[in-house]
Parts: sequence; structure tokens; C-alpha cells
Amino acid sequence: MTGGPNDESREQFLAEAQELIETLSHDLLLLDQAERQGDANAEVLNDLFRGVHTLKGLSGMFGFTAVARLAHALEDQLERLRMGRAPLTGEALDLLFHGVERFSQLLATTGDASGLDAIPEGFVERIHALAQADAHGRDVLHDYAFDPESLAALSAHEEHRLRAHLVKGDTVYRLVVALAVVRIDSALVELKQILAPIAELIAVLPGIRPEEHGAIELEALIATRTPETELRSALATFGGNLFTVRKRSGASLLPPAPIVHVPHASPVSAHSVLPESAALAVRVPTNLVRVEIRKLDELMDLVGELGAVRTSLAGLSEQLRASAVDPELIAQAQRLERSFGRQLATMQNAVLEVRRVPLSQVFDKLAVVVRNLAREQNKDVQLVVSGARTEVDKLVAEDVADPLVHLIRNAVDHGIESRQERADKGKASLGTVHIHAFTKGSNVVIEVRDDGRGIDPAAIRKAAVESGVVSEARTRGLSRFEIFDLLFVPGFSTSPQVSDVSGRGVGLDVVRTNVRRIGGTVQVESETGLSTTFVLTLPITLAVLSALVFSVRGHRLVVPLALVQEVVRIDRRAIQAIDGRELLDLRGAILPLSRLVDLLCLRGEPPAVDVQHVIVLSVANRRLGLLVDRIHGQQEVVVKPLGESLRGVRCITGATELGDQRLAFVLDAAALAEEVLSVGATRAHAGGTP
Amino acid sequence: MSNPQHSVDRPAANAQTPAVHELLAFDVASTHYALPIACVRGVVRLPPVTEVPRSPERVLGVIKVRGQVTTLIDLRRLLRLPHAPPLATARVLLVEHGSEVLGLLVDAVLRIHRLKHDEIEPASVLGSDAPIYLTGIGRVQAPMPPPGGIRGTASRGSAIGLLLLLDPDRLLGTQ
Repeated sequence: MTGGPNDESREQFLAEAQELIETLSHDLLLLDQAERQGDANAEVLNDLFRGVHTLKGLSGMFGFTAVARLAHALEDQLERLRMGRAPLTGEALDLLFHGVERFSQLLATTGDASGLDAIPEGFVERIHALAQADAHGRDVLHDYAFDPESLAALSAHEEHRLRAHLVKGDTVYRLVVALAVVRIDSALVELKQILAPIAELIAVLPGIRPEEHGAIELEALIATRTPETELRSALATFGGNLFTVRKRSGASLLPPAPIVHVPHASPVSAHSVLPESAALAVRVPTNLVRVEIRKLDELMDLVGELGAVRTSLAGLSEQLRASAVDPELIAQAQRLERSFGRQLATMQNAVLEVRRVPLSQVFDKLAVVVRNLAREQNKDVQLVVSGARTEVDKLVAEDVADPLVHLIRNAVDHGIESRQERADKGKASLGTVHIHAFTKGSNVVIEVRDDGRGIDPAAIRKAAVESGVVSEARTRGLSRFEIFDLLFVPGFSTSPQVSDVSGRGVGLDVVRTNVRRIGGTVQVESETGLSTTFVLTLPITLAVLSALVFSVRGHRLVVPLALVQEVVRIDRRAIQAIDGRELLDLRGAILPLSRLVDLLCLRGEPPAVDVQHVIVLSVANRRLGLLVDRIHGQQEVVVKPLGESLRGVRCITGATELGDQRLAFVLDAAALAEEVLSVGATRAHAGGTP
Repeated sequence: MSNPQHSVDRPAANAQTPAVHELLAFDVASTHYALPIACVRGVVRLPPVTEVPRSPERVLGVIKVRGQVTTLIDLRRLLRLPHAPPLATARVLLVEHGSEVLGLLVDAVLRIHRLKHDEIEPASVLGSDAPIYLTGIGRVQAPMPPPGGIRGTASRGSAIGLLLLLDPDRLLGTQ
């Protein structure tokens, strides 16, 4: 694909549009919350309107007419909601959510111009239909003793705000106050500040009395549900007279008092006093820079190269020491090399930090998923998030989104019970899905916990046996953890009986594979009947790894240091064999062993010694011992991915340069553990070199 | 030269000037082959090769080229030629294939030829069982004589040599 200027501006548009949509989703959630509490939030509606309007303009500019048309339809709907011409119902909200989702979908079909233009006509029609069905209710303003001239002076928006408050049952007051002309601006700011925490200042209108002694009378319309006494005391220092706007009594309809309008030098209109909230916001410059992740990858590569240079320098330094060179020069060289090393480590950390983003980016999207799912299934579910500020590498954040959505779906679909069932069990009717993220060493842990029906080990055992994943006999020897782990085995979820248990297992094998691909692990724990918790453990960064370097038959390999429990030297004769497997009795605990030379089909002569090195790995709560030839030490390495051509090579993810142009491979410990240990695995390498 | 399996993102040099083909000629097992210059990203000396455990047969290993870990393919195996250790003149052709750049190990890199359409005979001249990765046979003037002379289809002692034109996608696409 040629990257011309058109592609670049398209990329830019897509990036900006993405950001806008994220903000829109966030605002919609706020609105949703407000609607449930019966409290329509004017500001949020305005923000939504502005956002959609900007999106409309942007997409029109770049020629994405379908997106622009959808934006236009949503803009119309938002305008109606803003002006109170349409009620903010659950259905109206659904339409908005649906619309924003549609944006995402339309934008996701990149590279396919026809996709971006495929406009959901039916959707737009629904919006129009909703517009027609607006309740032509009685105008509540008629029920109150407002002065018609005052009402006429209000903008449509202000009228709507008045109605909204009256419908809610708030009280509207008129604050009549005379202000010196020179004081007006600062006085109004002061008034807004006083009122902000307790009331909404709807409008400020010219009063009925003429100007005298350089003062102007103004009438402020205030709406609030704060008790009158509190309002009065707040306004005490400000001055003026406060009147309540009362409901008209049915019998007497007093004619409105005549208003005498005195032309002012500078007419005080509602518009010049209050900023027009319908004004479109100019893009606010921020202190942020948008960077292509490719550029960060290149930076990381350069840091890696420097790392290799540094290792070579260290080697050279060692060699110099052995040769007959002025010791002072040697010392200098070593100091320089160490200083270089320190600066390099700092730079590496800096680059890593630049690549990190807070997990909130991902979690925000999940809230929408929960809301939609809950509505779909008519369940009450809330999403609680903690630790959203935890940061991970951008790529990790991107790749963890899908598995998380999957787990959340799983939790709402199969975990959280229906309202009735929860009531019967004595649980709160509102189900909770709790996402909790925190750092643990060089990892980030994300827990997804629901307070639903939990998982029953007996049911899993039964389902696993019935779907042929494991034999009845085998299940008896499994620990509780291993039974839960069966949910992740491919084949478990394809059980013909679609019960809630196997429903729980649907697609979990895919989740595990995807999490594995970003170097993480996933496990599940549960209290039957009470809760289920999925625990994802992810590396904070994929770019740099603290690794243990070792070799087997001259082939260099590395394994993440975080997974290494210990390294032991054993006598060859200590290895025992049973049922085709090898194991070691390590301080009273059985450690299954794996000969890497067999597993990786490596050739070469074994070292002629009786002592063998065993690297004890701890992977997903299980231990595995790797039999290797030599241990070379610990090192920070920059991991480079292998090409597509080598994707089929199992147990190896990526390569790293150790300093002399030779590459070492990164062992995929989790895949290895699964190949050797898992219940459903076939034992292909039962000892002996092929 | 027709390439019905042109992948969309390969720069279509052929589409621009079908009349003239620009080819990079190289030597493998004393036979001259060529690839369209447009698909060759670069040529480098052979760096140290690291074997990849459990890799497909045709993969010699990986090499580090321009900061990237690049898979090195044994062209001899793809062309079904006997194995031989690399020569001093050995080079790696960096060829784009799909989403990555692969390295093809050759015995020597020769030169660039510009061939007119009528200087290329279609592969079918060899019969219907010609290998599918062969797209044609070119006729070139005075190629550099490799050690051992040109095998097979050349006339002795003449200044005209033959060039076997390869299609990289077909060559690399099949396992």
C-alpha cells in the first residue's frame, strides 16, 4: 500500500475521530447515569452535541459521507434533547449508544471505502421516527406565574432549562437586584459563583424599573431544590430581593404588570451575560503529542542496538584488562563503559515510559459493553473499576481489550443471575462486575470479578468428561485449581449440552491464547454460588525483558526472569522416570522435568559431565524444571518479534541479540508448560532424541 | 510476463512498463536466476546465522539485518538443488513477501539486466511440467562467467547466456 499524502490525512482523521468517539462514549455513560437518577445533565448534552457536530464536520471534510450523515442524524436528535423538545428516555439513550457504536464500526472498516460509505438508512429513519413521537405534553411553563414579556425574552435553551427544573419539582426564584453599571460584569460573576453549588442560574433579564443613579436593575431567574432559607442566606451578602415564582391558581389569572422598557446604553441581554452554551468549542490546545507507535518501536530498536554495543564494550574492557595496557587507561575505559551503561538504562526506561498508557483507556470502553449487555438481558449490572490509572505498554493495552470484553460478556451472560434468581438467593438486585488492576513486580494484574453464581467444580468435572476433554479417571486426581483450569481447554466449550457451566467456558480457550500472545497468563477462581474471579497477569512491557540466558547444545535461549523460581545443579542420577515422564525430587516436592534438547529437537553432543543444570520455572501456579547445558547469567534484553514465516514454531516467541550478532530465542514458557504438563496434552516427546 | 497471483501490495513495476523488465541476476549452484528488481529490498553480506529450533525445512535460520530479525531461506531447497556450504561470494537478497522481508541465500549476485519483452521466452517452452515459480527464460548478453560455467541450457563458448526468471510469490508462497 503506497503511503501518499491521502493516506496520511486519512490516518489523521481516523485517529481524531477515534478520540472523539471515545469522548462521546464517556459522555453517554454520564448521561445514562444521570437519566437513571432522574437528573438530565445539561452540560453533558451540550458536550455530546458539540462532539457529534465536530465529528460531522471532520468526516465531511475528509469525504466520509456516510459517517457525516450519521453524525447529522445524531446531531439533530441531540439538538432536540438539548432543547427539551424530546424527552430523555431510555429508548432515546439506546439510540444514541447505538449510533456511537455505529461510528466505531464504520471507522473500523478501514481500507474499504465502500464500507465507510455504507450508511445505515434504517437507523437514521428510527431517529426521525423518534422525533415524531415526541410527547406533545402541556407546557409546564403555563402553570406558573411567569411574566410573559420575561418569558419572551428567554432563549429557547433557557426556556427548556426552566421547564426541566419545574418538571422535576424544583422551585424557581426571581432575584431582583440593582447594580451599578460599572459593577455589572464582576457582580454577575460573583452571583454565578455563589449560586454554582446550590442552584442553576437560568437567565439574567433586564428589570422593570428604569435606570437611576448609574444603576441598572436586573432580574435573575434561579432554579433549585435547595430550601429557600439556605438560598436566602447564600445571597445575603449579594443583595437584592428574592421572589418565588408560584403556581398560578386556577381561578385568578392576573393580567401581567406593564413592563416599562428603558433603552440602555449597553443593553443587558441574556446572551451577553451568559456565554452561549450552544457555541461550538474551539479546539483546546493541549500539552499532548500524538505519536505513531512505529516511531516508538524504532526508538526501542535503537536502544537495543546501543545495548548490544555496550555489551561488546564490556567484553572489550575485560580483554584490555588481561593485556598489557596502562592500568589507568583501562580504569578510564571501564568508568566510561559503566557511565554509558547507566545512561543507557535511563534512556531505555524513558522510552518504555513513553509507550505506557493508563488502563483507563481500555476500561472506559468496557463500561459501555456492560451497560448494553445488561439492558439486552434485562439484568441490573454495574461495572466498578479500580486501579484504572495503572499503566502498561500501549500494545499490551490494545491487545488486552478483546480478552477483557470477552470475560465481561462471560460474566454478565453466565455469571450474573437474573433479578428474580438473585432475589431468591437473597443477593442485592444490582449485580456487580469489578475490574481491579494493580502492578506486581514487573507485571500488571487485572482481576475481573463478578458476584454472580460462581462455578461449581463438580459441574465442570462432569461437563469435561462428557465432552471428552478428560477421562473420568483422570478427573479424580485433579486439584481444585486444575479443575477450574479445564475451562480453558479447547474442546471444553464445544460441549453439546449448552448448560450454564459450559456456557461459562465458551471461548475461554481463545482468551487464553490471546493473553498468552502478549506474554501473559489467565486463571480463574471461584466461590460457588457467590463469585467468580478471572486473574490476568500481563507484562508491563513487551519491549524489554529481564531474562535468564542459558544454552542447550550451543543454542542460546532466554526465559523471562520473572518466571524463574530458582536454578539448581543436580547430579544426572537424581533424575527419576515414571510413565515416560522425568521428574526430580526437589527438597521433598516433585518437580516435573523437560529436556529442552528433545522438546526443541536440537542436535549436538551432550556435555560430558554428570552435573546438569535445572531451571525451575513457575508458570501459572505450576512448576516445571528445564534441563539445560549451561547457564550464562541474567541480562536485560530487547525482544524482537519473529516474522510471519516462523509463526508456526511453538514454544519460541521472539529473538534477542546478545551482543555478538548472534541471536538467542525467547522461550515461551507458558506454551512449553502446557505442552509438557497440561491435562489434555498428548505426550509427543516421551524421552529420547528423535 | 504475466503474474496472475500478484498480491495487491506488491509495487507493480510490470504494470508501468510491460515492455522492459528490470531483473536482478544471481547465481545458485552455477545456474543463473533472476528476480524482478522491484521486489528486492536490498542485498547484504551473509551475517552469522542462528538456527531456529523446530523450524520448517527451508528455513536456514534467522539473521539480524538492519535491526530486524529476518528469516533466512535456503534457496537451494526451494529450487530443489543439493545442499552446499556458503561461498565467500554468498549474499542475502532481501525480498518482500507478505507482511515481512525474507532473506534468500544465493551464491553470488551478478548484475541488473533490462530485458525487452521479446528477449524472454515463456516457461511453457520447457513443457507443461515446468516449475510454477519459473515465469520465463531470458536471453542475456555476455553474463559474467561463474566458476564451472553455465550448466544445462547454454551453448558452449558463446557470449549469450540464459537467465531463469523466478516469481517470488510462487517461489516463497508454497511450503
